[in-house]
Amino acid sequence: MSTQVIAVLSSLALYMVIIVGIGIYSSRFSRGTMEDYHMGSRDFRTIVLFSAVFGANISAVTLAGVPGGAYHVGWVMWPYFASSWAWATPLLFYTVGSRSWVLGKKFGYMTVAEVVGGRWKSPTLAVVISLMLIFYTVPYLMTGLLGAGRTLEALTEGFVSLNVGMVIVAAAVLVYLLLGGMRGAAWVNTFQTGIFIVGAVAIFIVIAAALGGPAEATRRVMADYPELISRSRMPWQQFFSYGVIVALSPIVFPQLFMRLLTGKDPKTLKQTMCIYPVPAFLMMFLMATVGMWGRTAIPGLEGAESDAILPMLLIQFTPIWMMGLLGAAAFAAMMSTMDSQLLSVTTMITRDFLTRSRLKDASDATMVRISRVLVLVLTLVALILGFLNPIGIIKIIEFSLSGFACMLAPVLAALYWKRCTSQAALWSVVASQVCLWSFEMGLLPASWRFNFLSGLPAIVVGVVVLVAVTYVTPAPQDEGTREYFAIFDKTTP
Amino acid sequence: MSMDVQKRRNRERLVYVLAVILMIIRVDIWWWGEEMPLVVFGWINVPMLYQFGIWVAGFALVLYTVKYIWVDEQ
Repeated sequence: MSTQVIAVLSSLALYMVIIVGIGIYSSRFSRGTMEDYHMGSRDFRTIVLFSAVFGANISAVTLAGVPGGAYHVGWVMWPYFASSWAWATPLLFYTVGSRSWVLGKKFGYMTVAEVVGGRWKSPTLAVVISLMLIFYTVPYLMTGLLGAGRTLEALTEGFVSLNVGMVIVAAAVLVYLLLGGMRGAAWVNTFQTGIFIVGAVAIFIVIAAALGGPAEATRRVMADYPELISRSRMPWQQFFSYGVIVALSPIVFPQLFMRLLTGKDPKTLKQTMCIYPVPAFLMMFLMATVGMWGRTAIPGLEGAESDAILPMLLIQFTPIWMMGLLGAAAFAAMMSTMDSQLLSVTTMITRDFLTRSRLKDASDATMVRISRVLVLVLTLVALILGFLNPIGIIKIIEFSLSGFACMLAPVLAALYWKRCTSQAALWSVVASQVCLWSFEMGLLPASWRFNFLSGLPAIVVGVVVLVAVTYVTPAPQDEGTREYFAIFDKTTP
Repeated sequence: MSMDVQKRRNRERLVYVLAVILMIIRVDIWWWGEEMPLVVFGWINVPMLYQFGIWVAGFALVLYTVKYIWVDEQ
């Protein structure tokens, strides 16, 4: 075993010990209830809430997908996310988060499906939405394992294989999630968010210095691969459509939505909203720029191979002791999303399905035990999917994000549109998903989307169906609708 | 509807309209595919600055929303 492998594994072991330690410590504060296991008793303050929300959103995409994508298409990868998602998603914290938080406090809601289904008291709608969200979360979850496994494999130069790496990472996440639930995950995320923000800055500085400074590194790219500077490798239609998709989808991510509801009060949500855009921009800018520079430093990577450009650069340009430390930053980003996704899918299964079944009268202790078993099962499912080692991370994410973005229209309608009906929300979900899948499976000709990503026409179809069906179905006249909207009178105009 | 609520509702509409405009103009098709010189510090070009400007404008909308639209009486 080389010195490099020993250094990387030692740093990683130290990092794992710390996060597992935090998980164990957090379990001391457990109250043993469903509300506590899944929502941390809704008492998170700003720093923990911000870290939990940001950590849930920064994933393998940022530390593997973005540099890997920039390697092929250039700097455009940072505005691909940063000039839309970095500010539009926090704006939706207000649009969706403020009202959902009030509903969560009043009715104990935890999931998107509960908020939408609760608006029209429609179990069918809730089940459909929950199924769709679970369906799109699982492949996204798998990308975290895949990204972490690839990073570990690259950092140890193959000593730890992709599959073993994924198992190690999954095991660490399982420990603190099984012990601490939402509180454990959020506390670990606070540590992880600090690690990956500092780590990203350090990676940028170290790589830039090794390549002769930012100007020299960029000049080389300009000379050898001018298309990475001119953005000619990415059609503007893709840039536009992904901007819309990546801005609209995160608020519907079950893991992010749930965490917004864990804030102690609206003030913590507001402060989180104000902090969020800055590190969001910073992370994308730093990681995309480093990935683009990697093209001249380590040329010749094909397709998804470039997802490992960051650890490859670390191996080539950083001292051994620093490699492990910076590798931990990558793991922090990937694991913080994985834990939140695992917990959110578990919450959806327990809240949206089990509490409607014969288990509805089960005690909180029983439901928490079931939740833990579900966390374990879902981890195994993600691992099995990861073992199949599918296509590049960005491709998987683009598909998942499109699916999530299609769900925003019914969520907004549930929160804001009194005239809208449950049938309209249901058909909107069905129509947009059918459209998305038809494009992805080639049932609809690609020329019909005019170079835009499939998600964009799917969103448009969803909105059109929502409006059309709303006006051909009778308006809700019940007292419940009036009472529902009266709840928001004092919070949002 | 009180004057205050109406005022906040108008501000909210303004924010959403500006957000849509930002989402559209972030696609700078007039520079797309052009090899622009690296004019700032030798590693940043005008389209990069433009994209940064879009982020700044979006961030300003977020801060405006928190300060002038979102109240938290409940």
